[in-house]
Amino acid sequence: MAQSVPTPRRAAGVRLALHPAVVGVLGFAAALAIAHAGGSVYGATLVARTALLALAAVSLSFLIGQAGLVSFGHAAPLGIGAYVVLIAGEYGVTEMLVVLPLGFAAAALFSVATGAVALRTRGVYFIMITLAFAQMIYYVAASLSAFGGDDGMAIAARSTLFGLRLLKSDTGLAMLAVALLGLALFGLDRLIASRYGLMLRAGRANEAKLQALGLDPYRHRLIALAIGGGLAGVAGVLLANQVEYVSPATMNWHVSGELIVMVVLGGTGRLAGAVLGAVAVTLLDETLGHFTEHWKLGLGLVIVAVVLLRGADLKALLRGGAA
Amino acid sequence: MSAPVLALDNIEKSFGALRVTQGVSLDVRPGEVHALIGPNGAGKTTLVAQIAGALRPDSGRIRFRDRDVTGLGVAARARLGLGRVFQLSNVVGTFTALENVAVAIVAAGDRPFGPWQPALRDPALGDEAAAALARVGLADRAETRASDLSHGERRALELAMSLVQDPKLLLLDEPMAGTGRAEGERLTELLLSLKGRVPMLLVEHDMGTVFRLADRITVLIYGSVAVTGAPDAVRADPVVRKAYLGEEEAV
Repeated sequence: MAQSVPTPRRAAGVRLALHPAVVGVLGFAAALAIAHAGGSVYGATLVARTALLALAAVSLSFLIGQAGLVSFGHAAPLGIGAYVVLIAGEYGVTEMLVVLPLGFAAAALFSVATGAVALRTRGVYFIMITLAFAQMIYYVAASLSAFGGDDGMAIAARSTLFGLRLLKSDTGLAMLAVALLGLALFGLDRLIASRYGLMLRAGRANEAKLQALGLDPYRHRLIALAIGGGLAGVAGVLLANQVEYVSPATMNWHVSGELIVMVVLGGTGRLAGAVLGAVAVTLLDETLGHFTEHWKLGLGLVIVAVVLLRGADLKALLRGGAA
Repeated sequence: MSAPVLALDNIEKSFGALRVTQGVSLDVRPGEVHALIGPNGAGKTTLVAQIAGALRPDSGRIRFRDRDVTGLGVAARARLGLGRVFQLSNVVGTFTALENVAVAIVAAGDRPFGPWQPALRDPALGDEAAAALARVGLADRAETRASDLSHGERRALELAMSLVQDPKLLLLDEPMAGTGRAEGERLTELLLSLKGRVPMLLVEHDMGTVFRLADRITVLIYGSVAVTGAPDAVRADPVVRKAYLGEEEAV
């Protein structure tokens, strides 16, 4: 829980400069600048895609690492966000300032409604029930024949920002995605360190004790699901704009699994780990994916190695340097 | 005599054919240390679980601070002022000692949702937590992770977490279990210093501690109360001597 420990000796300015949100945004911004300078459209696309997937992974990391809620259905709020873009577009609404809050709200609502049931279970049962709810919404989406059914359909147009077509280029979209990722990292970090976050983390580490101290963390967890789901919805809004196409495949359990892989790969202890995980998976996809369709075999080996090597000794070793 | 803080009235609990709690009635009066002893398998742990709210009795009533709490869960009873120290030290291992106490303060407080202000940079919260640690002798261990504390220190930390909630009754489940001699002595001193201020129900194997602390003792044998009385009377009781203390001298 390194985020929560204040380091009083460091000046506030230094602390802010080393904040993972700032580091992350600067890193993505640098990548974007390089891509732009090189005139590479592909580079901007890659940055946009990585940043929005990182946002989805961070929202899941908040649930898994901080709230202790291992959701295997995080593709559902992601997909809901994407469908909000598609459906709103069909009704002529393409303004980001409308679509983005709408995507957040729809995904948060889904997460709360299903979470109210899922939170009555623990452990493997929670994993299974979130998966089940995600599959349900997947089939609901596949049955929406007005919106492409099984195959999905192209969105009417990319969203506008302030009525301007700022997101028409992938560079503009990438800038928005990176900014939202930074905001999410910063906001969630504050949340984790707050009283609310303290209760959430205590409930994850030792629920029996928290109960004995007089607090049932149910409502805290429900709020966490709303926030995590809502942010995934925001990522989904960005995703639909980037791909310009929405289909039920976004809600497939593969996607949920891939998000978990990103979170685990980067480490569940800190939110910034999910960003690293998302970057690693996307880059592996882009590089190895060109050589072989079976690149996920290599990814699997990397995951096995990461999980095995994350032993106590290595962790202690890393804590001195990295954490 | 004012009304008891805690009163069990004819509590029954069975697991299948096994009657683990058989018509147990006992009470804890204000300011009193009431010890609950009994040989292994007497049903002490089951009874503690029912008092804490983790288990529902099959029949009977539990009153706490003049309220019927039989139907309330763990968290609700804790909010009414039932502080609990677990048999196996129960703290948040990954948190520091200070964070653990902060959790106890926030959990019992009326603002457990504050979403923006970093909790531990709130000076009021930090000071209160630090003072609670100082009271149990852990002032210099505030920044130590709870999992790195010694067994006795974790017990003291748990006690600090309970005390900071201003409990109306402390439910102590074998606080001396697994502590070394010196640590046990420190813990006993700590409990002695609380005696008279906070009523306690003390479940304990260590007879030295029991006889030093208790105002009254209840002996539980095979799930029912064999005898309740002052320490001297219990010590002399022939049934207790036979069933529990054996032939050897009690203390």
